[in-house]
Amino acid sequence: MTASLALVRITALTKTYPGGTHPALSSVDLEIPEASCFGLLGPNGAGKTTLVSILCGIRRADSGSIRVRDAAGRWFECGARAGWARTGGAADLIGLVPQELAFYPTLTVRENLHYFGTLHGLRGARLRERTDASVAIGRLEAHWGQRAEALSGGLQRRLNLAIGVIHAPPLLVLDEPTVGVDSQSRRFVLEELARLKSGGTTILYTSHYLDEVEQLCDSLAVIDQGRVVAHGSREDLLRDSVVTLRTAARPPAALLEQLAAIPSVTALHHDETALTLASRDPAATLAAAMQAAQRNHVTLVEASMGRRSLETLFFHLTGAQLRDEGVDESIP
Amino acid sequence: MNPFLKLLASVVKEFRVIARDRAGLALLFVMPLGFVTVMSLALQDVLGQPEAAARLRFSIVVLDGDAGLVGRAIVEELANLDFVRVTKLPFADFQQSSAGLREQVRTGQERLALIIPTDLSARLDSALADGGPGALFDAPAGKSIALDLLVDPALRADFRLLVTIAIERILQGIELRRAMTLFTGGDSLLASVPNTAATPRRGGVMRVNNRALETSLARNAGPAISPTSAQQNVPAYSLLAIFMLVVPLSQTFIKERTQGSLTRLRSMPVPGWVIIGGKFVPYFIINLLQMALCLSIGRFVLPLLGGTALRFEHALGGILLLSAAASVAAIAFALMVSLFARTAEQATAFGATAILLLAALGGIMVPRMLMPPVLQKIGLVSPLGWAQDGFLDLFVRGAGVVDVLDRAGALLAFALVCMALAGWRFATLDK
Repeated sequence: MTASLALVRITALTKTYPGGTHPALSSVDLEIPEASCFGLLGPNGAGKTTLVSILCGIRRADSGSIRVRDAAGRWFECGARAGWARTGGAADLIGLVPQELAFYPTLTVRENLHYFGTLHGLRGARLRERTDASVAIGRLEAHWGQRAEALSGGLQRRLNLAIGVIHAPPLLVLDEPTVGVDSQSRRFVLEELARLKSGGTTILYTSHYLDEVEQLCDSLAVIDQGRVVAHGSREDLLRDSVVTLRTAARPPAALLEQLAAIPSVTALHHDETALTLASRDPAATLAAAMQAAQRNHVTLVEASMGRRSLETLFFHLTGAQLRDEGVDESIP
Repeated sequence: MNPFLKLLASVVKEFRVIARDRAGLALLFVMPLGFVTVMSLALQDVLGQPEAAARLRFSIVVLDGDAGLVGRAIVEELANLDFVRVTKLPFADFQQSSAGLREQVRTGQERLALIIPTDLSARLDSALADGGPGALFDAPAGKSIALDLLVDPALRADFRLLVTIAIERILQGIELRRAMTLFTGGDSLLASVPNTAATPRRGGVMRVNNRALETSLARNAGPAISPTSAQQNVPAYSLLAIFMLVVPLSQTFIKERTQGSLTRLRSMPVPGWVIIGGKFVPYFIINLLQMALCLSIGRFVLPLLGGTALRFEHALGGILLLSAAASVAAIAFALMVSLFARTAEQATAFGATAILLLAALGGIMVPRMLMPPVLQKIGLVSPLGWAQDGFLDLFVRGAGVVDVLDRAGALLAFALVCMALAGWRFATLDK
């Protein structure tokens, strides 16, 4: 078992909702390596949830396929279709942790874990063993007999995660698992996910917290308007540095043309008075940019260079700022 | 893993969820038990008063095989009574129409029918000519004429008596006036003697053959029983409770949808029928429990509080069948509402309003036979009405399992339509 083998293979996946004018997913091709953490990023409505829904058998694709591989090397088709609900298929290979607290509030921690474990086909000693393991993963031993509704928000998040791993799935899919979680519980969840990854579990992680994705994920894909706009390892995607300029007034078109023409610049994005230039040679780019500003009589109020962050990459690729869209109200 | 074990786990889970929802439990059990007790006792006296019956208007269908002077006079005078509404049945074949009318009354489609025999006018004249004035007191041998008054056994006994006496008086008046016309040489039935002058007598030529139809229904239980307040209200409010599960069921189902549990369930190796069955089975058992408790109240508690006991020992099979069919219909309706409503509030508002409306139309609050004809016809669309009519067949007409198969079938057909719509909606969630 090596990390380079794909556990999930997504091929030409396309999906348009009934009545929708634009496809939610358009010819998406992705591979998720085994025993890695894969980050899926995109602004609100980009198609992340649709992709996760099809992967988890909740929705049906119009065309294309998502396949997941078991330990014996057999590939199983995903998506809501006949056969999904059968034990022994793709559904047993995937554990979903939805963004919502997907359990029964009036049942106890133990009752919730037993119920969802039974639905995964666990019985007897195996059910008890997995329940104990999941409780340990969620560090919920002290709350075993407590009703879920009586747990704190952080503990409820942990229970949500514990239920997702009740059947020890090789692929764990997490949709915004740290939304609304205090910093302590958030750190706990990230630590547990890192532990699961080191234990061989493959993780598909969607989040608006770019620092989490940067910290946790080995590879990632940025998805926008149903299309994959970037896909690769974290190192590859963040290899470029950025030069950031802020002008006193809105820059003229001539300046933008000259900046884009600088040989070391690989991408340019501007928003009002803010200019972001991705570059392989930040020092040369910064010098050339300052000269161009002078030529065009543009006053610079700020100029800096640094390593490209996931946030600037995301901003550059999608033209959207995740935190500006009111998607996640808990972000400070 | 055997999917039935997953179903069992889902049923156990649902029972736990229901048992911990106190408001839901109150709606499921306290509401119907309270209603059954209070309404059965409250309406007992009202329904028991003859004056109340006299204020009612019942429809009577008349098949006038005579079409002569006497037949026409009977129809006219019946129409003058303020507590009946007369519908004259046109016919081509008297025997065939007569048999058809009997069937309609037997099946409860009509509650009262009067069959005026052919040649009544000529036969009355002949009897009066043979017997002279004495025929007014004692019909000559072989000349007595019976007019069949067909009565639905579910019609209250006091009202049946009222109608019978009224028709007897009409017949007496007509017979007397016809005799006076014949013996004094007049030619009009509407001679000087007003029909109110007719006095009770022991004999006469025409008589009402008043009979609750000896049908297959009536034979099952021996003599026909008049409906009591308990017979009306115990099944009525049990049915209301059964259908009212639309509120708790849709609440839990929509919560599962909005809180993500349904998403998680659908990502698991669980067939759709296990998810639906996990809801269906517990509520089905609860519905049967509701019915059993309400019947027990009717049987054992009402008499202790001064009410009339509900006797149902003869109809256990039919009660079980109808209760099961009503429960299946109610759960299917609730699942359909749960899948079409976007929020729990929507489901509660629409579901509860729809059930209360169907209950009102179906004769749950007010017996349907007391409603105006238009409303009675509209009420035929109510599944609660089908079930209530079935229970009245069982309790009042002494029907058996076979006799309520059609009503149970209608309820199951309604359930099938609801489930088809719910299934279609569930499938569109995947798209």
